[in-house]
Amino acid sequence: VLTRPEELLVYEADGLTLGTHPPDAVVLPRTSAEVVSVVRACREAGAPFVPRGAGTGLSGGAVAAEGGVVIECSRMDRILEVHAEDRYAVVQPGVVNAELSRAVAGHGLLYAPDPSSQAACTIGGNVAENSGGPHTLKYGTTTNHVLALELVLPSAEVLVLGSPAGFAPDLDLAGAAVGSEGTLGVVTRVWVRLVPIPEAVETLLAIFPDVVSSCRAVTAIIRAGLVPAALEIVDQRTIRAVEASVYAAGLPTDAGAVLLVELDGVRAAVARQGERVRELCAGAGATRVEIARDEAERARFWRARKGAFGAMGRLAPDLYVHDAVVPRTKLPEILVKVCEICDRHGLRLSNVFHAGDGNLHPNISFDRRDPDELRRVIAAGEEILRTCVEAGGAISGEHGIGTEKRDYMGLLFGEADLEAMARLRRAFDPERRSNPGKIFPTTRFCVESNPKARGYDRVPL
Amino acid sequence: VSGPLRFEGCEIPGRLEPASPQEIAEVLSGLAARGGAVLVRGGGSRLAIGNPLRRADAVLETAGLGRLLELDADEGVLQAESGISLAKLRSAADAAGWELPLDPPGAAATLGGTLAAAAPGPSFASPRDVVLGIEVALASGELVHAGGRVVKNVTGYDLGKLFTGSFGALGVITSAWLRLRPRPEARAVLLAPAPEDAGLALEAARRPAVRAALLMDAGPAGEAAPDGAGGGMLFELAGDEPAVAGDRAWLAERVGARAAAEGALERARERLGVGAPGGSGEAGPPARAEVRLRVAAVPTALASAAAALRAAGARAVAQPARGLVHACAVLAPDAGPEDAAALLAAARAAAERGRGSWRVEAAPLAVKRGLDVFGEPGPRLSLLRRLKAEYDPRSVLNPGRFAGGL
Repeated sequence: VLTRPEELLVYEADGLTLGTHPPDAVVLPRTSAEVVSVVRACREAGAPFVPRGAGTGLSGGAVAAEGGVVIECSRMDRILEVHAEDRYAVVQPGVVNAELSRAVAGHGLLYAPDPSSQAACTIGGNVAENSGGPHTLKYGTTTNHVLALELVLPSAEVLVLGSPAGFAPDLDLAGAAVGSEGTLGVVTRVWVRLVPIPEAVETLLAIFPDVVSSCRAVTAIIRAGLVPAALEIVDQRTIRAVEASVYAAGLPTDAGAVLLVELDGVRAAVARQGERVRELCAGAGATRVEIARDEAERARFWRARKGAFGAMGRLAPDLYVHDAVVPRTKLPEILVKVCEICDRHGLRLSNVFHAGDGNLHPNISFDRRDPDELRRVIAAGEEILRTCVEAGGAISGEHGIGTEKRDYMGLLFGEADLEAMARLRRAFDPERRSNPGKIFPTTRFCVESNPKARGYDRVPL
Repeated sequence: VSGPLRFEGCEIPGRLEPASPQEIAEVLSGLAARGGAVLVRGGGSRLAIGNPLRRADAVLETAGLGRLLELDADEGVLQAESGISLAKLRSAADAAGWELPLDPPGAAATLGGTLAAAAPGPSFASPRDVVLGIEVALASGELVHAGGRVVKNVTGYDLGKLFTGSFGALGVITSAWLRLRPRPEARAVLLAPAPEDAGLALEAARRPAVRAALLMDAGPAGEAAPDGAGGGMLFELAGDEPAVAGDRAWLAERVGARAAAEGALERARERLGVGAPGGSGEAGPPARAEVRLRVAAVPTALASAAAALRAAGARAVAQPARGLVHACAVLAPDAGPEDAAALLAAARAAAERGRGSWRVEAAPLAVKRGLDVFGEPGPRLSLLRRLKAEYDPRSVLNPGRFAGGL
């Protein structure tokens, strides 16, 4: 148990450094039984609790927004069982994402969701946020890879939701709990699906004169019926930051954008798809398409993508990593609008995103010591979200709502929609003690909901 | 609207067919206000699944919600009302160059019924993964939304998962956004003699281009027994040309798979169905007293699960890679609970050994009365009760039919 102010300091924020709040105490349990004792003590004291993994989240989900006890799961880091033949593993929530894939590689298997922070983030945190990553286009997000959960409810009751065999006989409560951002209880064990390591992987890097033509290539690839494992775009500003950093991947700094395409599957099929992708990129205006010849080159291509956030540290002291989704076909026009918004606010924007999913990550470099710039960062962020919602999108694709976006929920959902979510919450946590202050708006609102934007007002064909 | 009909021992005075989601919501709030209840019905393909209905003032049909609202061919997504038939949705998707990844048994299956039952088919086993957004009418009279039209979304709780598989116990699904799949370049349906070795069957079912693999006992008409000797294994291959060709050759060599007869997959699919519900009215009385059940087990435990069900007198269709067995036993028309006891015990034990679950999908009323057809919810029951109390506190929706008799 940690209670001294200097010990609590590191827990006052997560990857979102804008909103901070210290917990009253931090506990570091090793077992489910220890979590149960903590939750029981919180119940008796009427105190809130906040499950926390590695603290790499980007929406304030692991911050004790209303104080209380942070249940830090990093010591619950054991892989309990690996059932290679049945293709699943049972893990504690503190297992690091990349460690799991490493541990099962010897069986020819991997854990598919691979968020950018996979070297540090934990499975428990991934479950809370329904984390994605570059390979979700083909493999889906965390929810598609969780078979069952052991959950400690705020009442200290322990339930197993789901089973390693899948196919819930009644309610899919594991499905409902994934992505609930720790507001339904503490996950203490996870049954995760493992998938075979693909026979062949081909990675292509296409250079485009501008970001709009790279987006057109993405639409063409999707429309052609191809399902790459990943379709990622890195824009010019990001390329320049990467090339000036230790992550330098040898990209041309005059390129307007690069599109990274990864194909995987059966060797013969992958080679053919690679040819098709090359043609489609050329047709969309690519000036050059490279195919990784070996593992080292593949790693170099990915460095341009995965090193982007690190490299942007060079641009300014702070980085606001935004997360929003639009229909993939709307990417070109939305990117133009996003750039226009940031220009208007005089902000430094760079884009690196999961184009195949329509999942934007507009990154704004800033200096928080400049209060006026900070104000403009917040204002531009809100405009970006509104723009995405108007295009039929959503305000978070993989980072979650947390405290960051709770007051923007009204952009997408009306009172009744939020009440429908609150009903689920109350069934698990009637006293609102599991990670309070997340997801749900802090203020009442009535005019924000925009049914047109969320696409529920269509006239019949 | 029409005369009374009987359903599982309940007399249901009328039938309602609202014409819009809003009307469904209004019907529900009206009923809630005066303590009424409905039996919700889509196409009726899976109406047999459920505990005995306690009471209902009307059958609430979703047939009036039959519209395709949008199909975005560039994006590969569509939005449709819940009463639309899957057949209609499938041909719309097909015409736009996409494939609808839902293929449950039942020619009359609707979108809403398929989602409410989370009904797997041989090629596409997971309706929950297809739903991007959902609109639901609650018993409170509210029409609520979750998710949306984009393919990746963590904006709030994933209520689509809660309602997919909720059997109408928490709300009536009125429309949904679905994610389509690219139409495969190549496809083939093959039939092989059932491999003796369960490991080989699993390996075959897991070939990369195999998307349906059904290990079948000989059916009533012997349709699954190409060599007339005890069943066969049916495969559907789909994907890129080279991948399909590669697996076709592998399956020919390793398990002796050959091209199957026209319609083999469709006939096999219907063996995963549940038959007509035990009601009268338009559905008519069941032709035979059947017990149909489903066991989910981890793949390595599946062969023994199927064998145990077979030993208890059922014919089984196993899907080795998915870990699902559907079994069907025919009982005497006047069968009581004791006649099904051995089969149910086998299912329960197989689910336990296979770290999975079991549920009865169709049974004569007398058999249903002696059990919870959803298997035992166990310690989850109190949570299920709280969920029911939150979403449908007055039991307007399908009272008695859900797990735990909720």
